[in-house]
Amino acid sequence: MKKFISMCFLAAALTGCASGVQIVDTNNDTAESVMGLEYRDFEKAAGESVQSMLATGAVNNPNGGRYVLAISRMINDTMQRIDTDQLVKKIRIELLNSGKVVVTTAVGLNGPEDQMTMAARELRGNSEFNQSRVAAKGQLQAPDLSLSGKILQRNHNMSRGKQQVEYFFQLTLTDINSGLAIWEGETPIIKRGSANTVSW
Amino acid sequence: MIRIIKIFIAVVTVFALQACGELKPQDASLPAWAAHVSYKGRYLDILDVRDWSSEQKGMKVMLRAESIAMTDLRISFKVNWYTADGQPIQTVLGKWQERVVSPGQTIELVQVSPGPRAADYRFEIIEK
Repeated sequence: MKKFISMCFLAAALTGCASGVQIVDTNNDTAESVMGLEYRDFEKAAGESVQSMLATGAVNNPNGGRYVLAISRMINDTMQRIDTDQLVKKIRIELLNSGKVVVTTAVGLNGPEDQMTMAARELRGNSEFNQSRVAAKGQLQAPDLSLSGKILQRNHNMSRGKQQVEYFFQLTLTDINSGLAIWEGETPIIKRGSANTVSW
Repeated sequence: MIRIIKIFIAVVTVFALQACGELKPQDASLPAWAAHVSYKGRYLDILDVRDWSSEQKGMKVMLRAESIAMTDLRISFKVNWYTADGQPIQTVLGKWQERVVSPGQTIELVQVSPGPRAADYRFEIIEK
């Protein structure tokens, strides 16, 4: 009997030691939202933007083939320190998978996203390398489109100790050849909660 | 002996009839949209499901439903997309989205496929 009781205590103690950490199923996450920006907000903004781009036909190349897209400036005008790639990467993936757009990593506002494209070209004329494998001249593709945008935040105090935090994901797709915006989208994400909750 | 044979025939007949019953087509009372919607709630009356296909733009689908609840109804929905051979397409366009429907309000859930490779779809709707 004593042994049995000891075992029960031991089992209870071990259960108590469990960390309680669980992996979130991001496909089925029904947990409450937070006042700040979280991954579901970026998914919603990216999803709605891509839906709109595909539905309007903005990314359908009339000459056939795929458009080449360059990523331009994405401004974070919120009170939070966020990496705008959380939004942009999802859009890039969806557009690439749609078969209508490819993104260039050789052109960027602050230099190429992947510097290896140019670095590998410095191997030209180096006798240590098989020159037939070195990238030839005139092979890089200039972008047709540019994606730029801004994430805004506005906070409002409400009655009964509540606050409303508004986020706006604004995106623009510009035809680089003409300089005209061929698609624009805005996804508002509005959250209400306790004023004691911080959103920065 | 004859009695046993009679019972045997009766049992076989019953099984045969059951088997015939299983060969019948699915419940004809199921609405046409049932193949494209998964919904086990009580307060949403699904009126119509439509889709449009375009080689250039892919598929566009719309579900029209009316709330028969007495209070605001909060629902989550998503659309699962499939290729022509039935493979599911992993996409951020297939994430859960929320809507609040007022009593008696009719809503339209419109979604666009993640490209031309999507050939089939299925709405999933849950009440919260």
